[in-house]
Amino acid sequence: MKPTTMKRKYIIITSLFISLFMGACSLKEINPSGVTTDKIASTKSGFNKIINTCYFDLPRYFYGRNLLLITEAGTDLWTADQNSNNNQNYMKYASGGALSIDMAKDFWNGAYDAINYCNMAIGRADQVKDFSNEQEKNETVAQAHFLRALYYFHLVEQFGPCPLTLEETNTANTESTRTAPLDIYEKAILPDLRFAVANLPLTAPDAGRPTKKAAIGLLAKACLQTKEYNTEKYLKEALDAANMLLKNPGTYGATLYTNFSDNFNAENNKNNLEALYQIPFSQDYGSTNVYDHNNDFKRFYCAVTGFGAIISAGFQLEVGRWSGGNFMPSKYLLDAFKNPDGTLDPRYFLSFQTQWTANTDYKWTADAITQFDRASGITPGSELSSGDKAIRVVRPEESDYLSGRSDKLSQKYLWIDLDDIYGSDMKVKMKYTRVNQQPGTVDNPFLRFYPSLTKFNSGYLISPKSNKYTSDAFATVMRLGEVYLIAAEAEFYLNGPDAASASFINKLRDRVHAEHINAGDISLQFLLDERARELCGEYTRWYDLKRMGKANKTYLMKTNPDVGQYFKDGVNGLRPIPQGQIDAISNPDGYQNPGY
Amino acid sequence: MYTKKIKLLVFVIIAFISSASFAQERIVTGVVEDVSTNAPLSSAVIGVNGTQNKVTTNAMGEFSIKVNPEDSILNASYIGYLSTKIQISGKNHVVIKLEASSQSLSDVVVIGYGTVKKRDLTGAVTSVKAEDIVLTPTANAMDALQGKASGVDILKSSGRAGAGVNVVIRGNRSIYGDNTPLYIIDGIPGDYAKLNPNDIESIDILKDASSTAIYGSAGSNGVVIITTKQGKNGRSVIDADAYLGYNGFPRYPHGLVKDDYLKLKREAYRGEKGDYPEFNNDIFADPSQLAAYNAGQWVDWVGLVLRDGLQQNYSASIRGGTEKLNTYFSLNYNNEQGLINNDKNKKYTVRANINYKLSKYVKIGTNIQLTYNNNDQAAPNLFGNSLTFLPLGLPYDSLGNINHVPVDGITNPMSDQIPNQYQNNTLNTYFSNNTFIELTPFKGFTYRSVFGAVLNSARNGRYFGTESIANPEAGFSLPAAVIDNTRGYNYRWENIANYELNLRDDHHFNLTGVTSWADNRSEDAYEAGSGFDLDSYSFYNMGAATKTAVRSSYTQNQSLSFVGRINYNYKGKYLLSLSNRWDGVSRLSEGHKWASFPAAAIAWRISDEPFFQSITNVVSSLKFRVGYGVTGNSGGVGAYGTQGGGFNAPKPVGFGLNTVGPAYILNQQLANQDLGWEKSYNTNIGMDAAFLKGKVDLTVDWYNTDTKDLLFLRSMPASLGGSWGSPFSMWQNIGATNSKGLEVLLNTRNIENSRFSWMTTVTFAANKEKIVSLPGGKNLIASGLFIGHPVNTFYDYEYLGIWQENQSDEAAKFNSKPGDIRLATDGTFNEDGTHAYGANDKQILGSGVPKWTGGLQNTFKYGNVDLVLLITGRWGQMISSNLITRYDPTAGVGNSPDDIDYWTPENTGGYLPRPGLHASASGYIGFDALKYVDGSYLKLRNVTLGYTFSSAAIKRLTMQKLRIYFTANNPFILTKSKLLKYEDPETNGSDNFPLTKQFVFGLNATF
Repeated sequence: MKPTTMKRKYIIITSLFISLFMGACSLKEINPSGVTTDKIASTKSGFNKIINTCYFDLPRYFYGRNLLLITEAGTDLWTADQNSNNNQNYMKYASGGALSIDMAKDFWNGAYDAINYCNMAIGRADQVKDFSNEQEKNETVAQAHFLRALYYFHLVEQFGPCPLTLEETNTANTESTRTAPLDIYEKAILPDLRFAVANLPLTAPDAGRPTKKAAIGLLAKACLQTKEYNTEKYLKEALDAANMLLKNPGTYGATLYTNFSDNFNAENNKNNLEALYQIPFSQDYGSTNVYDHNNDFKRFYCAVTGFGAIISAGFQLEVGRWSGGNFMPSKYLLDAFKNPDGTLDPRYFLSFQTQWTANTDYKWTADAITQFDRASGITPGSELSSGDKAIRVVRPEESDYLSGRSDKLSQKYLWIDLDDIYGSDMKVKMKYTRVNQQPGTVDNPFLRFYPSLTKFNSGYLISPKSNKYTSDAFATVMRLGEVYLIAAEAEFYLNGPDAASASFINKLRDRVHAEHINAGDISLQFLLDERARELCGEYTRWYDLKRMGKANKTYLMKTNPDVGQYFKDGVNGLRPIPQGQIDAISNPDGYQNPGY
Repeated sequence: MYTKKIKLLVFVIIAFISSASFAQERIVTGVVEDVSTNAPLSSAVIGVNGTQNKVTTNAMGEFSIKVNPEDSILNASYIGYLSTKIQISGKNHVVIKLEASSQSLSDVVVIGYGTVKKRDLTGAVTSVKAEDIVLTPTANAMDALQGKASGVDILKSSGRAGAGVNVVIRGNRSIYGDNTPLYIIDGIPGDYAKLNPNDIESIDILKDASSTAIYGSAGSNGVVIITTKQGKNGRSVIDADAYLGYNGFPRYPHGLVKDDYLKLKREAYRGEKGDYPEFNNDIFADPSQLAAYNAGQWVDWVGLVLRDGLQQNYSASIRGGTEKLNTYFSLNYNNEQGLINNDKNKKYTVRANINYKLSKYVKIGTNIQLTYNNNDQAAPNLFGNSLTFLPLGLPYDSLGNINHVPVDGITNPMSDQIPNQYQNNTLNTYFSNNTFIELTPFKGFTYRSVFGAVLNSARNGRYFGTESIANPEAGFSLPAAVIDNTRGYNYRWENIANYELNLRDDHHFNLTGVTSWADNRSEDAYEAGSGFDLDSYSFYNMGAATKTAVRSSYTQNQSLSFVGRINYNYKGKYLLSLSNRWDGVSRLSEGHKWASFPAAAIAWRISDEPFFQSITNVVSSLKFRVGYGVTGNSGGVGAYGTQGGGFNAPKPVGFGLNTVGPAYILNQQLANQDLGWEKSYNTNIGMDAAFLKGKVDLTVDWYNTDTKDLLFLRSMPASLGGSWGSPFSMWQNIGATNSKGLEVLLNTRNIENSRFSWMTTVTFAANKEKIVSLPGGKNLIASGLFIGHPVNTFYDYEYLGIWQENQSDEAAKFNSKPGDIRLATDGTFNEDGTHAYGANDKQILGSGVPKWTGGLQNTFKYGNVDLVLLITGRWGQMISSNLITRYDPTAGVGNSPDDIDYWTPENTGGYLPRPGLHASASGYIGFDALKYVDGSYLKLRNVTLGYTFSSAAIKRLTMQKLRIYFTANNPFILTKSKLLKYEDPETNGSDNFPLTKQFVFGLNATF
């Protein structure tokens, strides 16, 4: 080939290449699997996905997970298991040490994550093209209003003043302003709930979606809670909302169970008549790992395997046989069940497990005899058979207490004297003085066994991972029983202790066959005590103390000094704002709650 | 040009013929080559001895000179080479071999889109040759470079089979962007881990921006250019390499057993309650565990779990060729059995490099690589579980099967090794090809068009049986299985034009122009299921699942670049390089997609100046270099990083038992419409010197890099909302970092004679990095970012010791007791004279950036025996040792490592706090402060003893060369902190998959 021909050939090839090259190149981004909010919000089916996302954080961060730790721990009702320092950030305000600044991070992040979706749904409801009518639209978007109110309610009660946003986030605004709690109630929580009351349907299309009764109940609760912020403006609304539910059981489908314990029974768990609103769990879906579903059932059990007649036997799933929970009742809580006449409020036995049977054939050992200070009748080899009574926790108010107490140390099973666990100083007794065996003062061996709250024994236990067990039971956000107490309290604030207030309370007492009370019995402390009897463990106590002005050192030292000794006034009434929020904002000075 | 050349050729031929007939004035032709590489030397000066008659060689090293009949000797000289005299009596054609005055100066260094001789280099480039790469027997080429390239920090952090290494060149500059270098394999980006190290001819590491700016937006983190072996003209050579390695003896503690375990638990009880427990059921609350204790059923879980690892490698290659066609072909099989059962990696590699010279003007070629990987990963928590699970029970049943529950309440840490219970297998097929056509239409000009494709497909299958203790797939309960199929398609087309031009022999120009287009796509198809009735299905029978989830995704990004470069030198003395690259990528915002990355460098070979000649005996060569360049980093920002939107999540929420609620989840990243490039501005000042006629080579580089407009994944306030429960983040161009440092590379030939030689290579690098600014102008504590400190900074309480008994009053002020951790505070006290340890007491403790890193390699040869000793060091960095905080101070049954030293009233010098004082490790304020330790270490990285058989001995085996060797890798570690007695600090404090010592026996044969 001649050089010139070759040259021409190369020029042709080269220019061909270059033109190909220029044609092939584009810097456009192609994203076939991408979705935008505008697209999704334009149809009903897409919009419903946004509505569904509003629920995302409830089972993930709140109910069934750790909400008990921030709503029940650190109050007059509970101390840590065996009064230890376990979960001390929540149980004992860090036992005098430094509280983890991120102790409530999940609640902060989770609530605001969900609120943004609620804002998105509320703000874009009008973009949906195929709602069949205005009512369908309002019914749908009312869910977002209800949930936004619920998230803000927890935010305000946990953190105090909070950033208030009612619109979907579109810009990266790093300046953050905290709005006063009452403002948040007035601008978000209460109007949202009023909208939800007006527009939610009477019956839910699926479990886990709020209905009118849920909105009315939460409205009553939120209105009452505003009392914490020194206003009486919404107490009437609280009373009215409560009455709306209580006076129209047929309309709203909220009724009291005849039996108190039916609230907590497995067979009622997933279709609970008294519950105003429930969060569902199932192995078939979830934003969390399945093994992190509803863990509330684990929280309240004492360490029954501390006695050799009860073994955990692998990771068995027998209801009521768990061991090693996080919450131990305070003496104040147990005393609250004591009637003035020395009898016990029936709700004590309806709420607590105090007896356990052996699940293995057990022979007493010399060590155990010394440890549990047995009298001479028990010798090594004394037997308990599987199925025999193994542990019973007895309190002075029980009829056979006195007779049983005298030979409590002669029993083959553990007859635990509540007075051996709690002192008259309202504290847990950490030491025990042996009388039968090697006398002396030792660590209290009976401390492991205490009345264990059974309200979360709903079952539905599963073992999704070989060494984990959890529950798919639904979590009850609020039940009708509480509405009676809200009504009674609102009535008390508005009109003082009166018959109307007493009648709300007696209604609850009727079903457990407890003694009636009179107007004269009612005081702020009585209302607190009654709430403890009815609602202990039901995600509410910390807020109750705050509302009634009892979240302070003086009150906690009086009722639960094991916890109260660590409470710092002016600090521990609010949780620390998580560090990530402080870091991310452009105006961090003075943003954190005082004392953190 | 053409015609000129042809005329010249004709002239030469005529002259040649005529010279034979007329013996008066004749023409001598010849070629000047480098003695070791046979590379032609252009611009070499050929003169007739005793006359002024001189010519210079052309680009092909050829010359032609008229000589008179009486002339019998030619002088050949070339800068950087020893001059030589050649007899030409009776010869018309000579081949002149020149020996470099300093050997390394003639080495060819691969730079971006071209090569230069080391002597003409203007930037900071470190080259590593084949023999140094294969010295360390490893399947991973970069692993072998540890300690051999200054300024390249290579860490292996895991002893998993097939684990990779982390490579950082000149420190971390980017916070959320990428800090990994760009790897170019035969001109096209690729994955070095897929290569067979035996196929590598050289690795050249471009470190400063004047060298890397040619790669523009991807050049910030340095560029590693890997060149594979090509066939050579000549007889075929077959190379065979094989080795067998034993991996074992990890520096790793075992769990406590027997009295040591009981002592810790008794002390914990005592710490909590004041006295030792009366009864063993105070320790073993579970009756079955107490029974196991009474029966003496102790288990050393770590001992049971660890086994000997084996590695074998077989590699064979053949290379050869003719003038027109040359090929290189290789096969490799590497099999690594990890330290624990079901942790293994098999790698099969095939490579074919073919070059074909179609004509004088056209060359085509292709490089093909196929790598197949079969990797099994053991469950991740095995080591941690083995250290911390109760050391009691029956690990095996009477038949020798693993007991899932060795004792009531405890799962077996080895549960994932029960047959069919856990599988994590990845099959990866990696195909890489680049095919080129190269045209040399006229002298000095080459045009090369390369089309590269990297096709990568992987199938990852995981199975979790009912007895598995690994975390199952999110959203599923056991048994669960997952199949994840990913495919990547990466295409690149580059056109490179190069024109080399000499003007009046003194002005040498090299002009380069490049266009580069890349298109990267990936697809992912995922399926997960649970509820299988048989474990034996593993992940091969998804149809048997009762509950499934599927998803798929697609991403694509493109980039387009234009490059221009001028290299100029005047008489080889004054060197100048100017380049610019214009880069556009799809993943940045509209209007910000394009940017240009200029660079310039100058160098002065001062030793070529006349005034320098008097000292060339001492300083044989000296060059100064100054370079400046701008490079970019778009790493970290994924495709669609600037687009908003969200994704459909099939079932994150539900309503009732089976009513699944599909949800729309926003992307965590908020869209940023103004996102542009992160840019680094780098200045490099360097010096290359050779002393004592090349006995000593020294390269020193100093650099300063300012990185601005960092691609910062800024966390938004959680109060704005988020995605999947986490706050939003947004890519923004904010913040700045600075890094500066010094690098030294010293090669010495201490002794060199025919029997014995001793050479030493020293590498040293000191790098200082810091964050210069952050968003909002403040430290970001939750993200661990602090202005004035490196990105990798540790911020926590500072450990001062343990409160002693005679300090109890003082300790009480801090709510502490004797045996608690004593921490530094901010010095403040409350009104009541107490101080509660809190967030204000936390401080910057140190950073993971070493003060210096270095390597020292000594190579000895005595007769047929060779010995290499390589020591590497990393000094002055802090590590956060998770093994230390595996200490369980509670009264629970959890176990601790057996090297713990805890405080008791009787052991007041203990490093760890008194057990039992708090209910959980987190109850000890500052527990994490225990783990920050000085991670400085020196390592005997490699000792190799080889023996090469004499050629006489192996002739009958038709071998040209046979060498056998024994290598010990990692045999000895010296740590500064005695707390690291049982760990290898190279893993940066990981408590998982420790590194091992490796003993290898191997052979290299050439046929």
